[in-house]
Amino acid sequence: MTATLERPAAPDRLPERPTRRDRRWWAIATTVVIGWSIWSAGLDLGEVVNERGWGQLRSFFAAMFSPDLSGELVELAVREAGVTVGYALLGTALALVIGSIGGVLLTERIWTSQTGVMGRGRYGWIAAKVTLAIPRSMHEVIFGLLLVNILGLDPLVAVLAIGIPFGAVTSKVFAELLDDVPHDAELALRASGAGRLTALLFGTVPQALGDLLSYAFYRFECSLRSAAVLGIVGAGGLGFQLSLSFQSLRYDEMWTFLWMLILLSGIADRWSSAVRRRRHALAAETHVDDAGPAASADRSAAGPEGDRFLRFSALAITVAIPIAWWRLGVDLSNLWSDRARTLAGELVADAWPPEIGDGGVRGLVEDSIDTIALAVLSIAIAFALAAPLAFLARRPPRRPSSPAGALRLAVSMLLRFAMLVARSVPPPVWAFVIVFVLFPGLWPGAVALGIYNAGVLGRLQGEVLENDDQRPARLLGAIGATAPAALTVATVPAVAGRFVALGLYRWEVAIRETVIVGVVGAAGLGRRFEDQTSAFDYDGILATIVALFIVTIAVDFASAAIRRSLR
Amino acid sequence: MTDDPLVSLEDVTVRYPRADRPAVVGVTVRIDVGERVALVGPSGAGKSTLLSLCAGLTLPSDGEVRVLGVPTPLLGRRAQRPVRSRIGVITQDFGLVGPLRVASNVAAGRLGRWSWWQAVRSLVRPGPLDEIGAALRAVGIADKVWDRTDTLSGGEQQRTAIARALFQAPDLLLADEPVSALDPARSDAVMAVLAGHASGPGRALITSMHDAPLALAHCDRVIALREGRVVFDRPATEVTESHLTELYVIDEPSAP
Repeated sequence: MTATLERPAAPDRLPERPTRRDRRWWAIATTVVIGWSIWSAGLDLGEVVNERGWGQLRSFFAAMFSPDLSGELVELAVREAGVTVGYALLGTALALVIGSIGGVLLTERIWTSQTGVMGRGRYGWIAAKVTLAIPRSMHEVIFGLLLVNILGLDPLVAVLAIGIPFGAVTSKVFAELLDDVPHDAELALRASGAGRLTALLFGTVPQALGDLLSYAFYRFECSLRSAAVLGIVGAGGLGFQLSLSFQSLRYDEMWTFLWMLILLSGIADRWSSAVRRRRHALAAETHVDDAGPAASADRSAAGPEGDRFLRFSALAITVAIPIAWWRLGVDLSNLWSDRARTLAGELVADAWPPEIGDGGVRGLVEDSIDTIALAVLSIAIAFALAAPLAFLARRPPRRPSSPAGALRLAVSMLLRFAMLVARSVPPPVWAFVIVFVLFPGLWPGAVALGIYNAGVLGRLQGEVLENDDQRPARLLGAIGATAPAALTVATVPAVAGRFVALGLYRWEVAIRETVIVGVVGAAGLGRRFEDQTSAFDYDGILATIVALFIVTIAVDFASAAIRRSLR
Repeated sequence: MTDDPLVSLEDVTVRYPRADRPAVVGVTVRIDVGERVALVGPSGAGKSTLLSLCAGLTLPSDGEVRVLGVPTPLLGRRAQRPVRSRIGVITQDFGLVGPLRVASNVAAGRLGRWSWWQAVRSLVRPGPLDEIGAALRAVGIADKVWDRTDTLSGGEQQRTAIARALFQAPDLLLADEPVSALDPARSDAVMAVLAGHASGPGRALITSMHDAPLALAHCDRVIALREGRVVFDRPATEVTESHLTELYVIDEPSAP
């Protein structure tokens, strides 16, 4: 036969088993860093746990089942929920506007000539990257606290505080989504004389539209949680009411608002999942990249134009935005008012030059290291909680037909609800509650962020599991593997990489979130920022923001490197 | 024991939800130890459904399926593991775990006989390595033993799935288009390996095939299906060219 045997018969000996050095190295490094974080948070239980606070903790959770349902308070909760949703909507809208422009500017191709040479365009590309990296490194609350000083208590504060940093994140994700689709159409258009932007808009954007839309919904989900946190720092809405009730220790009132948040968050999550599930249908090849969960959409899924649900969702949002604008009384002219300009000028004058203040560079470096430890610890806690929860909370494949099946369904529903509560209660509230039983320091901050992120991570990992290809596990079941063995051999290895990638993605977010648990004396840059804000120490704040920027960038780089080793 | 059929289907019908016609209609078939059976027929004839029935992955809407003397469903019951571990399955989608190394995927063939702890161990240190190597060598990809499975070509993945079945060494081997992704020479070699496996004591092979000459060369019995029904069931030596032409003829679409 003249057939094509690929290679001569293999020799009797099998090849040596290769080792993935990079992966092993990262595994060791991760273990060391987590161990070091635990050590720097302190291991002496007597110094960490405050035995006298259990009563308070109990009464807080007892109030969960007896919220204040008086007509007046419920009415207030509904009204304030409208404010929070309005912030989230307008913030997302702004983020999408910024993201669309920034996303185009961040694609490599908009800066390259027709022949694919970047040339001087490189400088433009780098400038765009750096410009967007700065707001991306800052948490919404930092923007909120700074903008409050310029604009006073104006709804624009919350909208801008959400829109600017989320716009920067969205830019990065949009650029990656645009770079991911095949470029043939765009190149063809350019070859026939279309300009760069026209070619991109008509050649590439339509292909990525579904992914862009589904990411927009994920952003809305994040904006809603962010709007609640911004409320706590004074922007109004449910968060603000929450902090008022907390100051008077009215747990029953708090739970009225918290239940409202849980409800809103539940609806937003459901909606955003539904939109994304339509994009992910059968996406066995999903991989999580810098984009977070949304970038893992399947290219072969049906386009949005064919889907009535997607069209309805887009329409509903388009209608809701002007309504929110009008209800909140947003007035753009406030941005250019004399008062705002004067205050902005003063703020800049106060802040420049940055000044490190007490403790000097050494203090700042120590706080930066504590911030990293806090983020590592919180994500370690979140991952340890979320990964098993994601498995246990899986929806049973069929309607239960036996008592055991019904029990499994009940457990899965209960766990999914617990995760919803974990991510709906804003991290500062978790922090305040946890500080009843843990003495101020790294631990309460880490536990608060850990619980909150367990809720977020568990949900994202749950989606990975839902989209995972079930066929290998089914086949192994057919040849006699028990369910736990099939899970261990087929499902766990298939999702492990994406689980870790999601954990790393949340780690990048957590480093920004350390600011919002600074209030409970969680050490690090967050507390420093908190102290400086209450002292109106603006040149100190600027130095802290610069330090946060450096730490954030460092973490982003480390996370990207680890994720590369996962491939 | 040897007189019992390995597989018996009694008047089996399968209706899938939302399908306009049943996938399999009133099929009665008995397959004994030592048989090498080829299922032939055009696409949508019910070949995959029939194999899925024998694997206990699909349940009959009507009729009874007995595999290795046990009526299906076999799934989910601990007591039936000994039965299931004697059934080998090669599916068209291969059912491989992409991020695992080839060795671990092959090792998974014995999960039916292993404890959970052994399953975990096989992820870290797949073994017995000599037997895994032998299975891979039989299909010609021993050099890929440490590759990540999802980096392999389609043909290599298909051969990994076959190696997993060989390593499992089942009594009943069910193969759905097992050489669809291989070149002609390799197809022939791999079919010979599968047929050789089935000639062991107490064993049988049921395989669906598009390639009729290949089926006739390696199997001793041919069951032809069309629209869910058995068209003919005869020894391979008695199957003629005209049988096959008739089987694969394309119906003229009837005028509206």
